[in-house]
Amino acid sequence: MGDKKGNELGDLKTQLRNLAGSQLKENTQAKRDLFKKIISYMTISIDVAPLFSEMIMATTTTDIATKKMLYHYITHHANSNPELALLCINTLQKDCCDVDPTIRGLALRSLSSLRVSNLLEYVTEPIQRGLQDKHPYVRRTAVLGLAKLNAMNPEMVSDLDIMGSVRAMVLNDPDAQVSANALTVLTEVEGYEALAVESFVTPILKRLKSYNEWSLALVLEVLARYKVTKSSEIYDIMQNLEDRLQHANSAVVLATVRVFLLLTLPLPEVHQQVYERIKAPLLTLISSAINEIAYPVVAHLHLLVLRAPILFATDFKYFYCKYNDPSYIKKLKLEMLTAVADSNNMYDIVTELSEYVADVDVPIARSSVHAVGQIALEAPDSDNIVERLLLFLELGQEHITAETLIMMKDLLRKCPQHKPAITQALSFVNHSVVQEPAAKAAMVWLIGELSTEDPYVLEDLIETFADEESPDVRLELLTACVKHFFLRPPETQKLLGAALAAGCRDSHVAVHDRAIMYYRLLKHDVRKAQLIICPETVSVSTFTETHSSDEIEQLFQQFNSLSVLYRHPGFAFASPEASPVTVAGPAEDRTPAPAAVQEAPAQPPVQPAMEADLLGDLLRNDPPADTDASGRVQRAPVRLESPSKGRICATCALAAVAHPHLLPHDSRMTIHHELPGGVFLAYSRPAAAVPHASDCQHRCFRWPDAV
Amino acid sequence: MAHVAASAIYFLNLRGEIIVHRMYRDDVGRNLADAFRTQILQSKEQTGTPVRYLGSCSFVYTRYNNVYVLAVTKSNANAALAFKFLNELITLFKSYFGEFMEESLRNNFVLIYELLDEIMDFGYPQILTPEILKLYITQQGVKSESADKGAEVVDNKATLQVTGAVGHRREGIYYKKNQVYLDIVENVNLLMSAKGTVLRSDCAGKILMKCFLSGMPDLKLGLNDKLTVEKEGGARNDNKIIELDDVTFHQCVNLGRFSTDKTVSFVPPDGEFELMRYRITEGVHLPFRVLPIIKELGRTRLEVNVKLKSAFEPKYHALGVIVRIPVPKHTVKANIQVRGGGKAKYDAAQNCLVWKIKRCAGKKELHLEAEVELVSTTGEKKAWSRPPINLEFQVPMITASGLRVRFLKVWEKGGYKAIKWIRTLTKSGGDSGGQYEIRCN
Repeated sequence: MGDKKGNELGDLKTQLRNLAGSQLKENTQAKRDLFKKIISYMTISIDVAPLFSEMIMATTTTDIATKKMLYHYITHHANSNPELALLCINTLQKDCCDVDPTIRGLALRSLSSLRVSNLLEYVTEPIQRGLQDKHPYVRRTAVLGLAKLNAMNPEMVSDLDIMGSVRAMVLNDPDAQVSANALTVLTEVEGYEALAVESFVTPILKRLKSYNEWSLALVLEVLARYKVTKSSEIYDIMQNLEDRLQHANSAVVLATVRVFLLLTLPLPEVHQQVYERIKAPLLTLISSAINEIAYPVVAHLHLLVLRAPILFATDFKYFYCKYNDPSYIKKLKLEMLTAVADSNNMYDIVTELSEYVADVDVPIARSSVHAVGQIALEAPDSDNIVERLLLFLELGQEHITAETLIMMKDLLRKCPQHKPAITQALSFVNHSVVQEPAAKAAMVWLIGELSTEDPYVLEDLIETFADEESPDVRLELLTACVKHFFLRPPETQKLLGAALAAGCRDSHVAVHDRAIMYYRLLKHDVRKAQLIICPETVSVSTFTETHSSDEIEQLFQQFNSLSVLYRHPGFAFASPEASPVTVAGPAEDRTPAPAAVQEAPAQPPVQPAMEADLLGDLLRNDPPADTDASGRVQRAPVRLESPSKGRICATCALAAVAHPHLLPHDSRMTIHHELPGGVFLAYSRPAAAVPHASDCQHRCFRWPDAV
Repeated sequence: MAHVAASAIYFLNLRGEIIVHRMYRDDVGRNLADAFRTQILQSKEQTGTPVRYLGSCSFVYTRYNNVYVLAVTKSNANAALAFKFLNELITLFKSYFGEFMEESLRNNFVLIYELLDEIMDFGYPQILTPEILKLYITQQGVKSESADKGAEVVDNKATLQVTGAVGHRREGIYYKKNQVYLDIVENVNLLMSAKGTVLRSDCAGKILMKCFLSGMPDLKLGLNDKLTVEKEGGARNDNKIIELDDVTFHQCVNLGRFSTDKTVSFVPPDGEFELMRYRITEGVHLPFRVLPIIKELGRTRLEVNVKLKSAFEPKYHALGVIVRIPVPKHTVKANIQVRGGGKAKYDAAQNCLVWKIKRCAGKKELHLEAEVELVSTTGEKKAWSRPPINLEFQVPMITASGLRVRFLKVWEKGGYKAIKWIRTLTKSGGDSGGQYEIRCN
């Protein structure tokens, strides 16, 4: 095989040599075919680098098709053959002065794409000449050549002192593509902020109509950074841009929407009108034929809906899922349906959601149950909806039952008035069916919480305590047993004993420690233990949302970027220089705001030392996936400390402020609890598994000041 | 750098092997295709999102036939732009070599490199309009094995004067016979409950044009939509006025003139293009209604009763009506009777009873009755999810929205008279990402 390849290369070499000197017309076709062959070999990763010198010898050709292939070959291999690349510089430079503009442009593009650092000196001069060329094709290539130069060697570009004339090109070049490319270079060299000034924006607006769809996206991005000084300007710009909302290209529409939204931020009323205006085009685009085109639009609409759900309350039908929508779109639609639910449309929405519960796609079915639960949680008078939710249990499907149990738990925590309905529904659940840890933990918690529930159910579960895989379920079992013990001591004493014994033997630190803690508390004083473990239940007023408003705002600042699709701010993933917009965001977040402590005075203040400790732990355990992202990624853990989330359970204080989804999945974080009784708990969990307050596992014990 | 669309573009086959790739910037590694294959294609975690973040790069991808087109970027890129670019790229490639699939890509390496060179430079999209690109591209697409593989060089010097003024049309086009075709194609989307309540319906329309016109013609289109009609001082009484919820136009339409005086005027590109898209939610006429009754009789039998009504005028005919009635997976056979027209059979591959009606006049009522026998499955408690009934049809000559062309005017310096052809067609939502669905539960 190797031999054959070697032979073939040898053949090609000879053929190249034979053709090299010839300028004959009849050889043109032969040359083309030969080059085509070489390019094809290159593509199927046969190493054709050994032909480099022969190829260079063949550079003197007048046939443009051959030239193109040749240049393609050279730019592909120059990087690995810098010495040889030097040989073709001469030809390329000569071609940069050809009479045919296509050849001039082509040569210039190849020259600036060689990416050989010690050849850069030969590149600057042709680029400068190209900028003055009379043909737009050459000029636009030359201008992007500057950007390539800048990426390799920024000093060289600043030495040229050419940005002034590039600016002039943006404004004055008759060809729109040249102007757009010049703008591109400026954004790369000077950054968007330097361009978003009045002296620049006004003339660009004037020639806005000449740009093609791709350039428009860039121009609009510059406009979006522009900080207007007077409100009349806002209207001027919007008037200028309004027709772009009708553009067929979704990228242009989104970019326009971004400009509109950011411009009107200081004027809340106009901002709301803008929402009304942009709704129609966005709703059209989400029903695009191609899922991949629809997806970014749906994601952006999702962000807008979460930001101002009321404005979309009447459009809920657009968010109905089609049977063959891909699941990533369905998921977003479900969340939008949940967000826009209000007292008028909620029954329609819940009816629609109930349809999706039968979806064959398990995550979607579960999300639908979750959505119904969410609506029930938010609705002031949700009896009917709770009834619907509880009906899902009758479907007898494991995943649906599991999700329903989890929602029942949240429901009971927030709306104790549903206790009778929930109690009744729970009694129909076949306990052995529920296997999933989160659902089982929720079920056990419900059993513990609902005093009317038969404590003997727990006996079966305690028997298999040691076999229970999830520590969360074991923790809940301990707590549930203790709770029942306080209610019916004589009947459950034996049960509790078995539970505590099993817990103390447990190998998991948290389970073990909790068992010991309960044991000591009970031994110390049963009454006080009850005060601690089963205090007066306080219903939760609000759950810490997954999408808190400051997070939404942060994403909103990065409207029309990948951030919105990932739902992570740009600094968490993009290379630093690529997202200058994030600089402002984290700085605000870093200001220590002990909001959590203020809002919940019953909680023990978070000790600074401990906080520092946790921080240290996080930083150590948080190796950024990409080495160069050090600057900004490390800021993410700092944000983790910001206790601005508020409304969290005491024992979870630290865990809940965290944004575990910002961390790499494999990192672990340590949760510390220092309890007044002298018990100290410290356990580490995978960061991804750290609960938000909404599914915190420690709701059962709070620490009254009295202890 | 927010508008960089890609640092590299890959074309991969279904196994994740590279067919062609092109690097535009050096900021991403070269072994990304491996990451794509192992982390996305072979991963068990099927989230399916067409954007993934792996090893500090974002992978934006789409699939067409048996090819994945993948753009890789390191920045917080403009996602919509990236997707749009990939799609335009596929359309462009199709215009060069017919079908966009692995084989055709492999036959056209050189052309692909040439195209990739022109449409994007240093990660920034340049010009994707086929008309303009033709001026720079030397290679010809190989449409099939037998086609001529020789490249034909366009005389560049002669044609390279344009760009700028009218980006989408070059000068000096001449046709002996000046013709313009205009098609209104409407896709009706419907979501109906089993009881016949319309949960959601809308109509996504597009106007497709094919222009064979000489010179630089200026066209003006008049529709019976509310905006333009009102502007002209109210409609004549016999006209129905349509309210468009939203309109988007091809880039050739003068948007400025549309927003000031509500006329759709444009200098068309040569050949085929999509002039506009619109969406209508109010007053959509549903061409068909379906009333299903599906009863599960015990564990092994199913009784299906479907009534199909055509609601349009009797003088028109619907073509290629296909009703797909889902049945459970473990169906053994179905005993089907059809009254009123068409043929029906059980299709095991689709798990459907497929009822095909070649031609169906308006204001008709058709029935399908079927007894479906199932294998009794033991142990499996999973209830049948009762997927919705899906309808496919085409009705020429009508628009579900009632939209009509009032006039289409052509002006040109040369003063020729163009022949105009106007057609309308209403289709089920299927190919526009929509559905004509009737739920069964």
